[in-house]
Amino acid sequence: MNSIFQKRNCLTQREMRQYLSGELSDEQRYDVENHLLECELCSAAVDGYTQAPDLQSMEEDIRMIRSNITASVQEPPPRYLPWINRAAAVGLILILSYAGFRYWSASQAERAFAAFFEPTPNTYITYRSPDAPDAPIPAELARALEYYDGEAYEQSLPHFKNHLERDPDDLRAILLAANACLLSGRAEQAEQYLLQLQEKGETFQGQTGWYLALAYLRQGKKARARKILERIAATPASPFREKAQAALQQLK
Amino acid sequence: MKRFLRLSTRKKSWEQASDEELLQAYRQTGNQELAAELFNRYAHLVYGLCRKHLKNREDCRDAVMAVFEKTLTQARITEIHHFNKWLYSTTKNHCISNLRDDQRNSRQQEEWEVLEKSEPRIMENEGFLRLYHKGTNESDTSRILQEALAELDEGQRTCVRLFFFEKKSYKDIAGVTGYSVNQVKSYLQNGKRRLGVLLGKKLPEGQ
Repeated sequence: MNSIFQKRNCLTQREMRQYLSGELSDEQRYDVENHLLECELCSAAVDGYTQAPDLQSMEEDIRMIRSNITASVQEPPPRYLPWINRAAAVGLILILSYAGFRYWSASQAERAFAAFFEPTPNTYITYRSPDAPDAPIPAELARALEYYDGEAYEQSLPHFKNHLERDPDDLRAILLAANACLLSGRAEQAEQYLLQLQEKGETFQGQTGWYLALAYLRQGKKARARKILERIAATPASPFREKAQAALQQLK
Repeated sequence: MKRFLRLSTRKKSWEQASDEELLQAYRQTGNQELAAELFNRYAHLVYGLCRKHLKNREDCRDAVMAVFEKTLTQARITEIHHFNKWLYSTTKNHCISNLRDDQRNSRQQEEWEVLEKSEPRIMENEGFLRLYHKGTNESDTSRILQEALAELDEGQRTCVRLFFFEKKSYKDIAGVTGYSVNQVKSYLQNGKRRLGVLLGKKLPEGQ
């Protein structure tokens, strides 16, 4: 009696094929037909299969449909582009190499600067103003020197600047200001002072060249620095000759 | 929860999951592979249903894919309780719509409408279910069933007896009675439904 009311799942494709070709046992066939009385989907599908002439072609269609359905919901595999990977790898290597070279180069110049730089001492004994040779030392210069001697190089710079605005030909002050700039990490400003000094005449030329070379090294401008150092190294009278030679050796 | 998590990630678990579990997991995760797994269980039936009405193989293939697309969108936003029933009505409506759109198939459409009117709808048999689920006494059940059977039409009673009690196939019943297979199916569907109604009345509500 209970077999009348048994609930079962819809027909599988295999069951459908076996039912249509009469391959099911009596019991299985009864289960299927009892289900067909209840299930509109299976019943209509059986009608569809019964009406069609070729069961095999229908099964091919279903196979195709299933694979289309499965393919339509799967994520497309990422496209493999080997040339992009290789180009990226080469690009990365080049970038890293260049960065490494720049670091090595900069650090080499930095090392040379640190090894050879010694600030020029304050050698003011008297101050001679162009207008009044016997005038006392100006207040701004005095303040600048006070800071400079106290190794407060950063604080000395504005006073050097003020003083040089009033007395732009004070070459010793320019040299000290350039040194203060180098010691404060202002190599570009030091370069400007030293070029200014170079233009103004022969005084301090030996030191100007040397500190200018160091200012270039501090900025990583090795070619310019080397050029000046070679000139100093080739000048027997230069007090910086040996240092220049050693610096050149280190830069090789 | 663990079951749900397994479902949303592991393909092997999907094969063992029920329709309801797959529907719920798809509604919550939106993973279309779950919907595909579910739909593929019925793809051959949907195709058979399409084939019944559309005839042309290509139209059938397109229709099945269209129904799958509907499944993807509808199953995400609505709660489907009986997936096979939902598939039947969705596919049938799609086929009707296809036939209506295709002017060349106007004759086929008429055939379809005639068929729709002549085919009795299969309904859930509440009387049977009550009889089955309430654990009614065996001898009472047998008596009530015999009484209900006696109230069926001749054709229905004959077919119901041959099918449910003698376990004969549609074809065999057709051979014995001289009815066509379609007539046998119709007698069985109507007889089973009517039997259910009669049993529903004869069985006490509380049982």
